[in-house]
Amino acid sequence: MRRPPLAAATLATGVVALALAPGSSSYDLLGHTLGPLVRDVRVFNDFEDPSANDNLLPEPMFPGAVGAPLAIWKAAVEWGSALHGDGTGDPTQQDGLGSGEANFDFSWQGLASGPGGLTDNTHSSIHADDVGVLAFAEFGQGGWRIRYYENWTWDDGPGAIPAQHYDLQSCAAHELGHALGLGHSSFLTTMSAVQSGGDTSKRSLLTDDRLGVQALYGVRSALKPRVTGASWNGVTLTLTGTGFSATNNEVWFTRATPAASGQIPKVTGVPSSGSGTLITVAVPQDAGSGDVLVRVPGSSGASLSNAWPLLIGCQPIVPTCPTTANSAGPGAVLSATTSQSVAANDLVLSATGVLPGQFALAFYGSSPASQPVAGGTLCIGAPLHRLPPVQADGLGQLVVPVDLTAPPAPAATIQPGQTWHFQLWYRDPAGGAGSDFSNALAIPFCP
Amino acid sequence: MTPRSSTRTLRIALVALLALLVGLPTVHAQILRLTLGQMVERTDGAVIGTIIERRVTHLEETKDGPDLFFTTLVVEGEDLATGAQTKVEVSFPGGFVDDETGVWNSEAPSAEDQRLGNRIVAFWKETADMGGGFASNALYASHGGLFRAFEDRWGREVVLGRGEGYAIDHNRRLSTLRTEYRPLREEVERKRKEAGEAPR
Amino acid sequence: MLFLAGFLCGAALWALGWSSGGHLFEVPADDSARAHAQAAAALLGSALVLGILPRGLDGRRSSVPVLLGLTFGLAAAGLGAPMAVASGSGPGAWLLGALLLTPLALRTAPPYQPAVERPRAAALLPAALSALTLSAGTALLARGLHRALPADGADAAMTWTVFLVLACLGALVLAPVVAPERPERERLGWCAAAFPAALALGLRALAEGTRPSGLRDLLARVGLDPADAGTAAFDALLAAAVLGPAALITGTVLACARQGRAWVALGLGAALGTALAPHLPALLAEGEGPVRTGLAQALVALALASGAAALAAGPRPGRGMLAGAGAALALWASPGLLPIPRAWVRFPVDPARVVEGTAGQLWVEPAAEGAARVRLDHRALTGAGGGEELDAAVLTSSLEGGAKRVLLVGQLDLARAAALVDQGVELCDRTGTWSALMDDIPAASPDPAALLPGEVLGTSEAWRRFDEGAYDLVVVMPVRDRAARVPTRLAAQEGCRVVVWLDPGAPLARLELGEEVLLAAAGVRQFAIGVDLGARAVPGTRVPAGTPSPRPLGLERLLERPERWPSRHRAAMLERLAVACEEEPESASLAPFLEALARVHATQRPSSPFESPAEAFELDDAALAELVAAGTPLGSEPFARETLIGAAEVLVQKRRVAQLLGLFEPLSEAWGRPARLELALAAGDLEALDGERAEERLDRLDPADPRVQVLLEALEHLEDGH
Repeated sequence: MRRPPLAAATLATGVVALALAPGSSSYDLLGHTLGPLVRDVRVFNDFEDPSANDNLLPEPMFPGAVGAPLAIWKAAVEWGSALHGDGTGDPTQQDGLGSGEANFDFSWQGLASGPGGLTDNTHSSIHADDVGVLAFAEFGQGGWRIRYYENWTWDDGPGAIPAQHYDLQSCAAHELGHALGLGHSSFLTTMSAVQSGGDTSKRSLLTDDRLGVQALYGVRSALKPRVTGASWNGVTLTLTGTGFSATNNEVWFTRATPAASGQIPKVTGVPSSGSGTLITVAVPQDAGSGDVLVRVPGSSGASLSNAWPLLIGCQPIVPTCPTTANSAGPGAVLSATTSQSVAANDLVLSATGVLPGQFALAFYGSSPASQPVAGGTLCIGAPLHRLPPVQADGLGQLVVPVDLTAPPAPAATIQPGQTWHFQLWYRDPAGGAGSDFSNALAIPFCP
Repeated sequence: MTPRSSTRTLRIALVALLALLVGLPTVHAQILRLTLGQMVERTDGAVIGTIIERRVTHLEETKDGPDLFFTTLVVEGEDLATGAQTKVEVSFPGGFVDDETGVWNSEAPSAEDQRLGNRIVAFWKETADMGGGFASNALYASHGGLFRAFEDRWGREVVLGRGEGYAIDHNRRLSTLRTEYRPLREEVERKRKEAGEAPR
Repeated sequence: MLFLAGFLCGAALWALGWSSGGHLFEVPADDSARAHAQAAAALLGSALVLGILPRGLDGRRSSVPVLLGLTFGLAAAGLGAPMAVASGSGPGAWLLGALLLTPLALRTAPPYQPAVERPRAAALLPAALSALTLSAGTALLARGLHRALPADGADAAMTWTVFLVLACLGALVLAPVVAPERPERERLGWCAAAFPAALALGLRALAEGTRPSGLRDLLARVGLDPADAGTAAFDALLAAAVLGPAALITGTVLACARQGRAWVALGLGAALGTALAPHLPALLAEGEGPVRTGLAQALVALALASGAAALAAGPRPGRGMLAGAGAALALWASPGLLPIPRAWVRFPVDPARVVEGTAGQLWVEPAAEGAARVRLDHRALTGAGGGEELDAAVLTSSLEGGAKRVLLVGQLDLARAAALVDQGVELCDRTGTWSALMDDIPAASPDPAALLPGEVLGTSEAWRRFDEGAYDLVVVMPVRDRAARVPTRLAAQEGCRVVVWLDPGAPLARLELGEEVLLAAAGVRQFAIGVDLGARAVPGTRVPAGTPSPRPLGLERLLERPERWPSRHRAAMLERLAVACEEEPESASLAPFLEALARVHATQRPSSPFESPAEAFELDDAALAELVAAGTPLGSEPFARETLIGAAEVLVQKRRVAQLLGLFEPLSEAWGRPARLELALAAGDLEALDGERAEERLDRLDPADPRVQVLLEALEHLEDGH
């Protein structure tokens, strides 16, 4: 008797339903767990594809990182016990980043100085020819290493990616699942085996993945310390949250400079106040923007808090609205030279492409706008604060030093933690409107 | 109350049987999802043969970092397309040079797959650099390029599939596989010849 | 002669063993408090004997040969002889030995100059206090160290050997420079002042050594790897780092003390310290929540006490400063210590709860599906994480013939409770050396106790109820990698069965196990050895127990990584049983089977973490063929039957279809086609695309069995390949 062909997919569905009762799970455990002291993650950014490092938009919840490191960082926090900051950063995930809800959190350690050894907990690319493999995890004694084959086109997102690209964040989430002790799931979750181009669906943990990490580390404990806010005034860091120990807390930071392995910048012996809801601590010299975690005395995963984003230093200067062409060429381009430190008071605006010999006036305000005016675009909202006029030289260049200690008006005083928008207006007699505007810059200021 | 231990044992057995029957993915990897045709396009050949040797190479310091390990299997048998006798070396990352020096790799075929004396189908691709400058015939897609075979009670060889997403997804007879494979390989060689590439 | 005397004493000390398992309820875990109490009693006895020895014996020979002899004797016995079952919970052994030999040391020490001081008894209180802190502190440091090492005796031998070597060094090098012209009391005071610093250094080494990165750095300096944990060089290095400073002070103290009264004081103090050691962390434990342990607090307290002893030994500001600095160091060293994880597995264990008691440090780790894995000083007390099937097999075997009232010596978890309920048990009391900590283990959901009524009993109460005949069955559950000495005789109550189950992954082959043992299997991968002690026999597979084996030697075990040893221990035990069966006509038929199974276990090797347990279990072709051939006539023998059916199921999961069908088809026919075996063969037939054969098998099986239904559904879709 001839039987119909084996229909693996149909059979799989049927047998899966039969074999696995409702509420059961398909995650697989590899037989190890990561203790609180070996959860550091770092990236050696040797990804060569432009698409692996073209996401240069800074994310508020991921300060200090762009490109491939940013994508991998997002993958790491997805396994975390709670939302990372406010959970934003991945437009493809509606439920926010930070979905593990177990007693587990990775500690983001920024950039590595090399691909690292077998136990240096580093992500990096491997420059090999096509061997049909996207990435792999290697386990040594007491650590791991994750490699991504460079022959594929990796994409750092942040949103949807082209079909011929492979999503770095999804792959990293999968490999980090192995690192923390999960094997493969026969469900189509983050921990399923195969990946297709253009697929970003595995960035987000599904129920089976969550059950797996909870099986390994326990469901997030009510006693686990929780960080709910972090603010830095340039000297000290204030953390708010719950569950901090009265004494002997450890505060973990991200390294500021690339390191091969280990050596998480920490401050130990830190007390808390407000019944364990407030910690104030000086930021160590070797700490940089990244994550901050709090560890209370103990060795279980429940002794380590969730990771909370921490910006140390300033966000970068971001160009906002482009310049418009003038009668002499493509238009005036405004740039800034500054350490962004209010205390240093070293802001100098420069422009090129202005009409030679013509007067110009730089101005600034606290909010962006976009209003067509006089042949150009006014990119700053009212009130506008004008700086003294200057004249362009014979090459159409000019320089505007800005003295932050002598603002044009009290309301124009620039303080640390504020972002101000700068633009240049200049005369263009030969232009239709007689004047024009340059591009605008958003400059965050720090102490 | 249902005795928990027997239910659990039952479910474990069910899942195990399920896995073998439908070739559900039971390995842990990030590899390409490939059909047989896609595998043939990307590779330079396939061999059906017996693993007669296994060795591991340790590269201590390389351009891709320290401590890279590669396992090489020597497979003696026949070319899957032509049937000609051949001996092919295929390599994949991971392995141990001795009991203590080496690395477990998430992509590598299992120890069961690599046993000396196993009959396997291996898809390979000549590769100048598998990492760290190591040149070999790569076992393409690592464990996804190796499929074990055995003789049934009538002496016919059956190739074990690995499940959806793998080049050989479900079990099939070797004769069937050859019938599927040959025209695919011929087509690929024809296209390469037209493109001016040397035959493999 | 002195060296020889020391050598013999060292060997004798190790042979004494201080091993646990002196009575039923110490098995499977050590009774730490009891072992320490035994050592303390010996020290007290020695102190009393020393107190009546005549004083002022002169001599010109050094005490160092005695100490060296002691060291070599202990090393030879502990490393060069068959592995003892001691777990290193007998720190008093070295103290006892040292004190026993101190009369010799006294007799052989050079005459004391200047004039001999004969202090009043009260003036020796500081010496007693310093001995208390020294012995208790050393015992606690060793306890922490041994938690991180495989505790099967060989590591303890290496640890104490290193300790004694360094003690000799202290006696030889340091003693002559510690205030040589000062009275004895002051010299001992200086030693007491230095102890806090020694403790702090040991604490720091322990804390660093148990962190993977710290350990890696430490080992890299000498070319070792964290994977070498449990090997000789590793154990020696870590023992030297942790116990070295304390050992140097111990040797110095032994060489500084001269008077009989001083030795009595030291002996009394050491006895008290040894007895107190396991209780201190529990007494000083602090903190709510998942972690409650007081090891570091205890060590800091001892450092402070030692400092006080130094000050009380006479007004010397230098001593006070030294003691204060050391105590501060100890305080600094302690925060990073709690609790001591076993860091050098591939990744450290991450417990959900840690509690310290006199029995040891209890860890509770989450395991799959709500179960909890419970460890006592890193020895697994439950089967969660792979041992559930063996637990079920052990309990089924123990309960064959029925029992309603059971005393479980072990940790009750959900799986065990369910297995007991399955077998009709109505009451299950639990006991063990860690019974005081059993309530600290978070209940799974549902609570095992809710499934099965019963109480947690202390061992004394358990004995009392046992003597009153309150139970039908007393069962001691196996503890992974633990081979405690088993009592071979017991005055059991009429009608009560008593069975002690042991894990053959521990060095059981060395043990005296009585005349017969029971065998219980859970597939081919796991089995347990049972010792039947009751008045009423436990049914099941019984084989002659054979004679204790002289292998492996302690040093043998230390020369390779310990991860390789469980399978070798299993092979050794099976070989011993096979030899014993050959000599007994009634059991001779089992001998070839046990030999073949020994060969299967002997071929095991470490596997990738990416493999399932079945994939990771090696089934060598030749050994498997022998196993099947030897097992074919044993179809009615439960152990052989379960082992071979388990082997078939492993082959299914390994997808070794040809072997499965080739070897097990004839076996199934010979055995009347048992359902599990037929199911496995049907799965093999489907893999081989032989739908007809699969259908034949499945037609003979119960269609209501979900496993059968799975295969029938697969069969419906199978393409006819002919």
